[in-house]
Amino acid sequence: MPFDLRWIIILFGNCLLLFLVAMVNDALAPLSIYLYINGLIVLVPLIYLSLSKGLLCVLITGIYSDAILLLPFGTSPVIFAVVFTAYYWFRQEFKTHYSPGHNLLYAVSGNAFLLAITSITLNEGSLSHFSYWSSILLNFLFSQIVLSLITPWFISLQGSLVELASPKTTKYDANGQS
Amino acid sequence: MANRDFRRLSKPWLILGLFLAGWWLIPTVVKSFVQTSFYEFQAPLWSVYSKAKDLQKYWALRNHSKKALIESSRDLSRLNASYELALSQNTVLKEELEHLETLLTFPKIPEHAITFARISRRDLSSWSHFATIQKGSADGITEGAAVIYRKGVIGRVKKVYTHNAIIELASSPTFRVAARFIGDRRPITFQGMSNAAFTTPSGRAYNIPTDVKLSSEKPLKLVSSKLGGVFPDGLPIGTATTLEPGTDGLFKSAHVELPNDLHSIQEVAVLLPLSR
Repeated sequence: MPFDLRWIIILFGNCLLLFLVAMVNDALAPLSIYLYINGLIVLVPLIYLSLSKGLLCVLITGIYSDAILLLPFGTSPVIFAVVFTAYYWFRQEFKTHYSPGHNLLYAVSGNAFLLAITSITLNEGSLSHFSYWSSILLNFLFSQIVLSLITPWFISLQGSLVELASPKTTKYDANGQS
Repeated sequence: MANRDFRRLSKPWLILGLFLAGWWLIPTVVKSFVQTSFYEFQAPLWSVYSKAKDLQKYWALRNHSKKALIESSRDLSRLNASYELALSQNTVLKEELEHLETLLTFPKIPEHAITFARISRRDLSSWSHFATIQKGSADGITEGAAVIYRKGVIGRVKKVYTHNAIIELASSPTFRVAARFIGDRRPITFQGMSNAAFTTPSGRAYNIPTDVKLSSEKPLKLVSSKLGGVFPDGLPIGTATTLEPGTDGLFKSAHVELPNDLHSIQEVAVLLPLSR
């Protein structure tokens, strides 16, 4: 049975996206704007991978995310795994399909949830400060706009790479079958 | 049929539960090793990125006219002359201080070795503000060392790797330091604060005595206090502009504005304590 490269390709794509976003955040630092699009990282494994490989992919991406974003170790893997599992269950329960609209909805809602959980978890006593939440709100609005623009492109890019590596690739349906 | 559906729908949560249990059971030393490994794996990419930015800047400067470069060189030479004068005055003052310390048997003021480093990357999220410099333990950088620049305090070294170090910036909500107002020896606490987009970096000062008066027309400069044990005494932190009553009624708090260029600095100086 040939080795399945898809999860490695998607992992590489996710890590590359994280690196590019970190570069953009470095350029935006003088303006005090922060881009957060981790919702997209959880979405792509959901489309192209099975439960186990998708979970493995988001775990390793989460570890890399903690390293590159300088977060306390373990924050991202746990949150990514929870969101991935929730989406997987939702897809099975309600038998949703893949369309650009659904993908965008998943990405935007997942990103909002991830940002909210991360903000609450890492607040360091700033929960009662108006400046903290105003900063998060502005970053959230900016991030969601950018996420809406790049989601179709990134999913298409990952899909093309996966097809190049494995021409018989199909997306996993709501029952988890290919 | 119902059982099969239940098993199928609960399978993802069961696997997630197993993963979370396994993650909790992994020894801390393994997690620490994995964290360091992942960081060191991607660290050279940031050095390359920083070098690429410098190269881009170099080629942009090469397109400047000779006239602009000569004018810039002239301005820099004036600045260098004033710095050289300040340095020579500093040497005289230092000798005077050592003489007084010996005469009056005062404890000596701690001295520091200074090592300069270039910032390769900044990460300014709402929950923390960090910068990465291109020097690490191989260059003598230690955790907790003070980091300054020409306008004063930048932050503190949070974590050190072999060839990189992570600085927690003064504007980070996780940054706290002992401080005081100029002309007042009483200690207060400064803590960084998240700032909204397109606004200047800022923080808050706590535990301010009630007799301190300041306003936006008459702000007070905030400087570092030696009581913290990290920063030398008197290094500028920011300017306190507005005063508010504290929650306990005993002290006040103030909004502090940090320098505008805190989030765009390229070169920093790390102060490494010298043991006497």
